[in-house]
Amino acid sequence: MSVKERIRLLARDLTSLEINTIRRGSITGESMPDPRHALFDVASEYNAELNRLLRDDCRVVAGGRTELRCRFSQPAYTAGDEGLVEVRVSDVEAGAQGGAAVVVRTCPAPVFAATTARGGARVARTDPAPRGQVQAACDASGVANIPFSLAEDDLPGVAIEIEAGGVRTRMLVPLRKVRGSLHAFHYLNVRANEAGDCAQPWLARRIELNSIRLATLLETIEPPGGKGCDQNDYSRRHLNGAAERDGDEVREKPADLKLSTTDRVTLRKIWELGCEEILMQTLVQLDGDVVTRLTDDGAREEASTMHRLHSEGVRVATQSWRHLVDSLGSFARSLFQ
Amino acid sequence: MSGLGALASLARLGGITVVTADPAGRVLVRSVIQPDGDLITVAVPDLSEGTVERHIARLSREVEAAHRLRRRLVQGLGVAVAGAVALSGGAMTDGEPGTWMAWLGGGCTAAPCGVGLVTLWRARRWLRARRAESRPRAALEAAEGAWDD
Repeated sequence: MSVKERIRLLARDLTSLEINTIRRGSITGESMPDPRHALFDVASEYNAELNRLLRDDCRVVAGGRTELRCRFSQPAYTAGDEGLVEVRVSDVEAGAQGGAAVVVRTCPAPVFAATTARGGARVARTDPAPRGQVQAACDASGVANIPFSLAEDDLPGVAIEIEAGGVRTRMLVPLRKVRGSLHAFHYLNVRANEAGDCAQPWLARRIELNSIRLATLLETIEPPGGKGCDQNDYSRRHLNGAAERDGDEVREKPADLKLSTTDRVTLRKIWELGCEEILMQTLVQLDGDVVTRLTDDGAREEASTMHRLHSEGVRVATQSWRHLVDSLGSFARSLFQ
Repeated sequence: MSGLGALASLARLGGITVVTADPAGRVLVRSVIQPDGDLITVAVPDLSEGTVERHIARLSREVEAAHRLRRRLVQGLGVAVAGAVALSGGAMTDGEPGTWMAWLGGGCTAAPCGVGLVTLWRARRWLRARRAESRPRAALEAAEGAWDD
């Protein structure tokens, strides 16, 4: 990051203050763990929430007179699983299209290959050719259940391409578990981006934005003694320096992730916030503007203790902010005295 | 957490964390102050006024302690930078004036840094003594049911 960019970021951080109060049933007192573990935590939490939010998700695509309605038979899959995708083909005027031919292909996850840094990224993305084409005909009600299989080494981002009646669509296969890897964050970003109407659109939006921020962050980090970027594709056991299964060889913990201070702060904020709904939020600007937002729950009278906690938090945060600006001022003064 | 600990935590993890728990160890409130001043507070729904008061008092103390140490460090850093500039200025200048400038710059840097280090050492000793004093008091308060508010 250039000096100009650093100064711009510092100015942005110092000219605004954000105070968030969250209500949660159970809290752990632990601080953010090592960044690799924190990335794993964030990816796992985002994936679980997306699987919950998009449990009954159905993709509807129309082209010309044909309409496709596609859905997976299960809410989530694991690498190596066999699955089914249900495709319903209909004509906008004539209704269900019995006997229509449907083609399904499995598209492996994208490959992030090392390249010369461009705009900070150290990898270039390429999409491998689809594999395992399956063709089936719809039954009388215009429905086809087409099998697909995932390979043991399939990474997050594996998708199913569906084609019928000249209409084509691509759906990411929902995965039961993901790691805090580059592939996982790209997968979460695309999945949240493609989410239709869901119960918590704000959460899908947060997952979409934060996932691409974390993917971009990983793309710019130099790997320990290698080319490309640090893809951070480690299981939890590997991060703990343990063998994957009993009897396997014990592995060394991966080297620390080379995060800049700014990136560490970004990750920390994302980790702290998780998928919790913010009950009360106050934004304070240097020009004196103060904006407070409350959810419906936060605006109720029963939340008076939370109001007190939030207002006291605003007081302490502004005090801390003033101290921070004072410290920088005294540093500048001591340089020129 | 002492001021020194708070500052170390701020540098290492990117924030100060203050946690308030009940005697059974259940975490009731957790606040994190980010280095840029942003605050995130997570609380359980059944929070009492007393817990809020105690938590905010601790948070304020941590902020004050971190600020005091940060101010001293920042001032020391300013002097160190000024000294380094004077030293490099001396090294770049040939002849006697340059040498005198270098000695002057070095002297100006060393004296306040020494004073700062002694202050830090004394502050740390004082904090340790305070913590040792407060431990039996906290245990007594817990035994008397001071948490049940």
